[in-house]
Amino acid sequence: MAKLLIVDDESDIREFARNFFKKRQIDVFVASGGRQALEIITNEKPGLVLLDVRMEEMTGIEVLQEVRKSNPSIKVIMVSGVEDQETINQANALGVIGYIHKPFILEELEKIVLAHLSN
Amino acid sequence: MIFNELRLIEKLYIISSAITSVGSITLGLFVFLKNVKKNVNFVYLLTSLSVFVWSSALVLCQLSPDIDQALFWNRVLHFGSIFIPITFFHFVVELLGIYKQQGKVLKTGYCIALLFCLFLFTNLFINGLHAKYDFRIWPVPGKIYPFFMLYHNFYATYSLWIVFLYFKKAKGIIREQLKWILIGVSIAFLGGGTNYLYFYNIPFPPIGNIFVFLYIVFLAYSIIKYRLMDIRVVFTKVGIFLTVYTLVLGFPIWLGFKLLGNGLWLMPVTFMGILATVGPFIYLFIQKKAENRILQEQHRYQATLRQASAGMGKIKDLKKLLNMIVYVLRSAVQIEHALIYIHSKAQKKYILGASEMKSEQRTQFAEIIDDNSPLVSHFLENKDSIVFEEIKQKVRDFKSDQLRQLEQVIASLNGELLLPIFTDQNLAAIIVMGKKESGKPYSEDDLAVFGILANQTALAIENAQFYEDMQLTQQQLFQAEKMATIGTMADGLSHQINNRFHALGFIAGDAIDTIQMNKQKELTQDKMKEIFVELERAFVRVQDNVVQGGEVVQGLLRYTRKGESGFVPVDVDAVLKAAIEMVQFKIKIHELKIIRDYDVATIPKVKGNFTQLQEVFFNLIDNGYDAMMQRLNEKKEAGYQPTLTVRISKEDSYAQIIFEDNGIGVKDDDMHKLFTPFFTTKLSSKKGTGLGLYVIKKIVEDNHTGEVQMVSKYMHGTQMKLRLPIAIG
Repeated sequence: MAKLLIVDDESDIREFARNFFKKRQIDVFVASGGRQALEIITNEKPGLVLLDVRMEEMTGIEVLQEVRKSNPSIKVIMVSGVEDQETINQANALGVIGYIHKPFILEELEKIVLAHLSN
Repeated sequence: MIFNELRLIEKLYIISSAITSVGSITLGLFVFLKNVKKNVNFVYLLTSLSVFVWSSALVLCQLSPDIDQALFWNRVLHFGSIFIPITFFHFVVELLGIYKQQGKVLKTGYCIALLFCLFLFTNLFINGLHAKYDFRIWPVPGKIYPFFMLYHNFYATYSLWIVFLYFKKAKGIIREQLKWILIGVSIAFLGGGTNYLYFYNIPFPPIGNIFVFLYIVFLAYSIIKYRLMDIRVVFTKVGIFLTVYTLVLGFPIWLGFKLLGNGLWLMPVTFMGILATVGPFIYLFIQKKAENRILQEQHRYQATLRQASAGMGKIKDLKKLLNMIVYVLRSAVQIEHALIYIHSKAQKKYILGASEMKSEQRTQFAEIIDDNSPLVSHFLENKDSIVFEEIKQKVRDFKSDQLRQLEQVIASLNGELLLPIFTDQNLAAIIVMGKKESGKPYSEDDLAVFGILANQTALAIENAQFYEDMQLTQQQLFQAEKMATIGTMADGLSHQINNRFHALGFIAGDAIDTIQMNKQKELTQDKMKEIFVELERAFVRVQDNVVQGGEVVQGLLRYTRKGESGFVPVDVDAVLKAAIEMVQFKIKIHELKIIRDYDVATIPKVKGNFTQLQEVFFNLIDNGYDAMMQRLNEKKEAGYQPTLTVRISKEDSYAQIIFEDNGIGVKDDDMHKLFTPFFTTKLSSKKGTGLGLYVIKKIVEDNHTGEVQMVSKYMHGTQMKLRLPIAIG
């Protein structure tokens, strides 16, 4: 089964995104923060990571940096609320597949996730 | 005794004593009259009187025609002599303010003096007179006399010793004052001391006595040059004239003395001389009294008006100022009514600012004087006050339309005297004064006084208006600062709101997805129940997100409001909560540990404005956060936990609120600049407007009559202490 990791500090996001993708036979893991996320990546090796840029403990970029140290190839999509050129540049430098801006609807997300997980 | 038959020494003795006598009483009276209320001046007079008695009696004794009179005067002389040392000692005590230490010695001295007085007219004190060496008359000491000499020497020496001790310790002007007292009085006592040699049968003539008068000179010098006893002597032209006049007057008398001898002429001429000297003083005194009496009324209200002028500058509230001016005018000058019209540039007219009138006379005066009224144009042209009677006269004389119009305007205001108040070239206000209740016309003196009043009024009004403008500007500044702060919160706020929408989107999306997946199917009861439960969960979460979003918006709206202008009892804990609520949109509040070190139930309520205090707390938390982040990022200490502690306690009628952080602290150099507007140590202009501490200070100190104190140590932390008055009731 395809594995998806959703990293977001909003509990509703984690809960309902998980509901949604579970219905599509995707194994969904959730993390509320950077540390949790890194653990799951190491243990479960998900096919795709949706990474929120703006979180409390560690920022999305910091998480990405850590991820890239141990997992240079894992697929990551950054999720952000604000278009900040510096963050975009940093993310690109570290290597991300794409960028999506909040708010977006699940239908759109579905298309992107399915496209990248099937590869 | 014919003066010319006396020996030289006797002549010198008498003349010097005469000089001492006159000089002593003159200086004594002068000092006393300079300040009748002070003890030291009074005691100085006593000393001078004692010296006066002694030296005058000495002259009279030596010039006595027979032995009985001589003996009498000699005893009187000793009366003075008994009191000289003790009164001088008293003077020293008063001058140096050492009554506490020397009180007993002083009282004892006076008792001894009085005791000697009892024996003064007996043989025990002075046992008659005889010739002694160069003197025809010299007292024969009685049995008590040695004790008198002992007492005399003791107090004289003791007084001078004390003065000497203080002279050594003293600095500056006091040192100089004491120096001349020391020199002068030492000469006097030593000089006087030479008198005693004859008593011990030492044939050394009492030459020293001749120099006694010098103490007056030295003391006068100490007064004139070093302000002894705080006497300021101003040499006016009058003063110099009188001094010279007095000295010059003495010359003819001395000449007469020389040429005509000791005759009948001496008495009346001396008397005339004294009168002529004293005459001008008496004249000046009477003149001043008469002036005061005649101009009493004038002086009275002029004094009141002057006082009012002085007080005016202190009133900052324009309305209060105007009311005060008309009130003072009406009551001090006692007129029927007083009005003041103040210019409004915007409305191009003069509006009635304040009025005072007799209660029976509640007539309506014009509320407005227009900018192009003949009254205004007249003032702008002439810049001088208008007396109605004069205008009426001019109308009769010149029959001009312009004047007639002016007359009408003034009549409608019922004005007798109108004063223009100019600030620079602008006619800022017009004062209208009615008739004097006494019916008397306004005099030239009145106009002069009102002229001064008008100037003072102009300044005071300008001051009050400026103050009003300043208050407005300050309000605008506060609002601007707040808006700037909101700008820094925009990021955090929009993130929050955005997240709500994002969450709502996912929740709705998942619910829709579930419905779409199942709406075409045949569903079991259980499956339907399952779906309903799922949907219910979704809608509950929707509502929660709506509520959360709503709270963010509400919080922001509350923050942006200016808030009620009134001051009410405020719950400090609630203010803190509101401030934290807002500040989290600007800073990452989870990076701090916030400790509330107080018991919510027992903290006092503070008299203040909620919104303003919220702004203060917001800024304090924000500043603390920045300081701590700076320390965190620059120093990178292991185990550093940024902590903000808030303490609230009661201190008398104030609540003490302390915001303490363990941030980087403030360097000593920067401390004094901190509360000035636009100074900031914050790294980016986005973070720091530089108005924070300035606004805090203004809000706490000016608006809330509280105090702000900052204690900081570099690399340790900062404490911001606020003191706010507790709400009563």
